[in-house]
Amino acid sequence: MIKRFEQTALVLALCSAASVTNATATMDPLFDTATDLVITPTRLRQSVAELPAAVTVVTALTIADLGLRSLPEALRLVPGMDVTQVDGNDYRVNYHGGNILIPRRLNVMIDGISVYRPGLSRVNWSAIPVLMSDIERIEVTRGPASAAYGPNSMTAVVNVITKSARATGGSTQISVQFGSSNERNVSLQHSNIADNGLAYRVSMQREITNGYDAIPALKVGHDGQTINRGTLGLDFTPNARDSLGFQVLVADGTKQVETIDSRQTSFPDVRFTDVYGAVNWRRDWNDSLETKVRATVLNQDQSQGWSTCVPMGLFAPELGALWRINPQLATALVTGATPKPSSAAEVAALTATARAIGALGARATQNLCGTTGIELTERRVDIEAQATVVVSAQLRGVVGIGYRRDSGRSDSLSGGKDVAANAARAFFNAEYRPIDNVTLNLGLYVDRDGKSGSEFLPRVGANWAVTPTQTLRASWAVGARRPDLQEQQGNWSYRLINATPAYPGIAQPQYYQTGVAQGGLLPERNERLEVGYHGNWVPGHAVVDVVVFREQQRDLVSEKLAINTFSPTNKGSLTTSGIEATLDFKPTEKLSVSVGGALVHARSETALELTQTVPLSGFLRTTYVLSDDLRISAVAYASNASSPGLRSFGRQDLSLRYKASAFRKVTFTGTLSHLDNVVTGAYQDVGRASTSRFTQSVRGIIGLEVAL
Amino acid sequence: MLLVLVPGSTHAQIVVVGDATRTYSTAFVERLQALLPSVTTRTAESYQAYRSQNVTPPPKLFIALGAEALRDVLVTSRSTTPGQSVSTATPVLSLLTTQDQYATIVKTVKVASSLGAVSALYGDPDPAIQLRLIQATFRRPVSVGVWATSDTAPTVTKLQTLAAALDITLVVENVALDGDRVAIAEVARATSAHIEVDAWLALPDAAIFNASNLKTILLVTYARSQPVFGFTATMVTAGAAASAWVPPAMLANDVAEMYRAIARGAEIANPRYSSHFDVVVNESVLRSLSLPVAQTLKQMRRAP
Repeated sequence: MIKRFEQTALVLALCSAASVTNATATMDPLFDTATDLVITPTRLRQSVAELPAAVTVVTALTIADLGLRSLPEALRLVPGMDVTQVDGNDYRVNYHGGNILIPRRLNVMIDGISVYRPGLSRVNWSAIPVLMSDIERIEVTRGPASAAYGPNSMTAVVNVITKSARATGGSTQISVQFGSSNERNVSLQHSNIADNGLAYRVSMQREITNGYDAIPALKVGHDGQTINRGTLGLDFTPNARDSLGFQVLVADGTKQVETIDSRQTSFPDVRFTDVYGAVNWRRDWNDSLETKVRATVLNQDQSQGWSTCVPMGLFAPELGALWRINPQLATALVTGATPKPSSAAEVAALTATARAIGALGARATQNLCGTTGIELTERRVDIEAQATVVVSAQLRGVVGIGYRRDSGRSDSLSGGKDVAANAARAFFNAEYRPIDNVTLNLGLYVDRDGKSGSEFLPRVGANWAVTPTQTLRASWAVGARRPDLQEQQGNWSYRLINATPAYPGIAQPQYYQTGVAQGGLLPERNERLEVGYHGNWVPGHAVVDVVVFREQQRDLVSEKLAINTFSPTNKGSLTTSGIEATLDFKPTEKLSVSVGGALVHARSETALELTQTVPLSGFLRTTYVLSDDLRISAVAYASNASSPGLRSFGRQDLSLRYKASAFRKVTFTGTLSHLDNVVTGAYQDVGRASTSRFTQSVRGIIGLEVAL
Repeated sequence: MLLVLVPGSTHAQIVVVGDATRTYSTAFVERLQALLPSVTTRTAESYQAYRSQNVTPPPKLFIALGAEALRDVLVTSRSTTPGQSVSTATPVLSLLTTQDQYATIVKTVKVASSLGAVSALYGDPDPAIQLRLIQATFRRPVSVGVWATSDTAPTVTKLQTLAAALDITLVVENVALDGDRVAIAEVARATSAHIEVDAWLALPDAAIFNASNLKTILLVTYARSQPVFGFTATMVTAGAAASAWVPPAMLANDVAEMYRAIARGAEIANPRYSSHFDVVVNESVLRSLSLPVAQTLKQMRRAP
């Protein structure tokens, strides 16, 4: 979705300066070329003090200073964001906690392209298709923001803005990094602007990480990943009014997975290829009207295969039929308990199963070995048109419509059939300033799809500038997440390929357990009320932002989705309340300090919704510029956990960036980290937690960047 | 209303050489005439045009509007034309010429013996004032980036001294010329290399700041939340954050004061920036960047 009306949103002008300048422009003694308004009223963004939500911005400078190497690590700087690295390639990220098993209530966008997966409602956090060094800034809207960012912006929105081809101009950079646990990373970035105005930027990266030194069941960790990333951005301005953009993002690689099947005889590693594309056209009709049209497509292919050996009897079609009639009967039969059928159909199915297994004889308990897995393709096509209109100096707004088609196909998750959901949407956001120091924001997002009905998601905010540098705000917003294709239309089963010995009469026998979605799930909803304060203290030396919030999430699909317990409902709920605060302080030009934290109280009748509860979390970071060549930064993160299995987290990083004076185009980087706790724990199942561990509490990485 | 050259006038005269038809110049000359009603202010497109009219008596002051006119006056006056009556004491005042342009011209062009002292009221804003504007905008220790070419080297040197005195970190990024222009790819590269600066200060350098580059510079820096402090009102119109500038009325006021001193027999003052200036502010841009200081900046103007 095209990003609108937020930090970088395109909003309107309060055109006082323009009115001054039109008169003076023709009188310019030094710049006599006729110059259009470049920062038009429609391009102007809202100031932080006027936003109807709490927003955290992580800039490229912060990413470089702290040596941040992944998006989830950057999100540790966002108050209230809970980040748990369950294993080397598996981050669980939730805003204000919630269900750690499948966090899926955050929307993540890269230059307006949602990387939220349509089929499984997840974000492939460790394989986001963008290089960290390509990021201009990360804007995190803390709270529901569907009115501004579209579907699935339920609890928060992570909006990644990358460096445009036009912004980086003619540059080429090669960088390499080597770190603990044999972490390796090499990247190449190149951009230029041709004489005809076509700007392009291309980036490539190969990243290899080995993850933890040990994960739950193994003495040696099998949780690394190898990722190849490639991005291409084109930007063309054929005339003064139009601009065209084209973007391709690719992430391709392999993730090591320790276990998925208790009978597996090989690792169920995941091979994936994610491709995103976007085309957009922007036209400035005049200083008060701008239109944008954007089309995005994504295709995500995932393949997870493993070898397994399972008793032949568990592939009896009759046992599968019994499972579909009554899973308890099938389970009782398999575990040796006494089945208790309660209907004629159950009796018939039970009898047929017993007869079939009996026909297998001793082979019923003999292992059938072969390969199985999950092949999954997820696709999204999205087109959106919007107009930014400046009505007057007091009123400006964005209005638009869009259409989205999510689809997917999987032999194991959708029964080999195509599943899809189509949704149409409309939205508007308006900013109205009835008097100079009051800003009112009103937004509404409406969408409808054939599976879960219509959604009306409003956002209302009022900001009052008590003084020019101190603002109070209050806002109310509602966000939602539509159930994904699997939850709504899933048809989960496993077939065994190349089975040895062969199952009599069946080339690809199917495991008896299956899961079929019943459909009819409602969207999950989140309603947030907040009161905030934003101020500049000690004129300009300190920027303070404090927000007190209360959120009520309901209709949550909380169940752990597994083939043997595949029964999603809307019975979950979660209520959180608390306070978040940040302070950015720059006492001297060479020293900057930031501190932030969150105090969160969570309540829920649904135990799984409390599995990533972090009552208190925060960070303290500082950067000192020793010279033009040398910048040193330190950051400390801490969070205490109160959930079953979840461990408290604490880490201190010391980073430096040094531009070698003798070689101005060479920069050395390094980060040394200390972990308070070498073990990361997370809830896995009832009475069971995963624990991943490093063998040493001190880790490090060094790097070299060369600008050609 | 502009006076045209009238041969044989006996009033004290100021001759304005250069293109006086542009809005700024016209407003300046009209204001100067209003401030000096007893002085005849004449305009001439070039020094040759002035000379061909055989104006008498010699003017009390030559005003050269722009670098081209200054060069013209200094070069053309070196050739002698029979019948011309050029006072050996007529001083030349350069206007609408940047400090760097002025320094280059007086250094490279030999001033004719027929002319008096040469001076200037620089056309670009005083770098010291520009730095103070940036300081007042952020109200905290600040880091300022500057794009520089060989043409602006003297001003950059001066900026470094000023920045040190004001406790401002100045980051100078030298950009390479491609012919007589700096390619936008090079400017973008230089900008991208300094994500740490809080703001950029634009120096008047047509090699960088021209119509083809300005849009990209303003868009790229705005997207990065790095306001640009321009050197003209036009740039502020387009999207720069703010700039000091000298409106024609203020410039005329300063010139009138200089003329009166010359008429009293004083030497023409040394080259300097105008003593009066206004501050033009793009409130929308500043506000959107969470810098609500427009009124503070406007109050920094220095009016007569």
